[in-house]
Amino acid sequence: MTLCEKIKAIYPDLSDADFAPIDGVIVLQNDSDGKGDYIKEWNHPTLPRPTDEQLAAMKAA
Amino acid sequence: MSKVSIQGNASGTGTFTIAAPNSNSNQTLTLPDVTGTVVTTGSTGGVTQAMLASGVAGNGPAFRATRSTTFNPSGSTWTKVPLNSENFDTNNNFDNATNYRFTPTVAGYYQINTHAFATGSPPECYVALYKNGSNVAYSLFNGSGTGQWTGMVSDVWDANGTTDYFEMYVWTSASSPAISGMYMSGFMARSA
Repeated sequence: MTLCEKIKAIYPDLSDADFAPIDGVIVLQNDSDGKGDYIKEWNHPTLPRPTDEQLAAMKAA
Repeated sequence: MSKVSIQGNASGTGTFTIAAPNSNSNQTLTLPDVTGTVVTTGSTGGVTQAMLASGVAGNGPAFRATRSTTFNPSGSTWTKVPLNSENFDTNNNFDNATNYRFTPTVAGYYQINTHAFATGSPPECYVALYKNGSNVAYSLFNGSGTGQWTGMVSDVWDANGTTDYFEMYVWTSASSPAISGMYMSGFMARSA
């Protein structure tokens, strides 16, 4: 399950447009340093940035 | 009238000779009106970028880095391409083992290119050039139907010669895309 899929599972109302590469409000990034995908920017106008616990729970689900 | 003074060095033991060629003509060698060391045809590596006049191509860093295998980044995630192989890297400024980035050690303006392609029915894909961790130029490559879709960035950026660095990132809407044909290349176009 990718980070994008986890976030969409937490917030089903999010659309692909929210993750758009240039003008999306959520920017995900991976620096190929072994640390994996992470949220680089979270600028959604209403939804709060998911916590590490929420994301970890999605991984366990 | 200005004068010419030839001065020896008390510490040295060699003899320096000013010699005329086998010629029947009269010539005048005019010394430059600046302080410095005279450069000769034997001064290998002695001409620096700063000594070149404007508009003269130099001998600055140049590189081309590639990835030999396909790359599978996560969907909807800007992912740095681990360019782990090099065709050439004249100044050892590209890190192909850890950070996969070009950090030129000579200040100047650099032509830098990034390229990638996908085959079949690719999703929406982007290839980008990052400077110091920020997306500064990008290109979209996608399409309907099957084929080979190529994205390329070609741009010129300044680098301070110490901390500025450049990286290649890709982004795709697919959940498990396969990107290939990746390379990043560049060279110093002119000194700072």
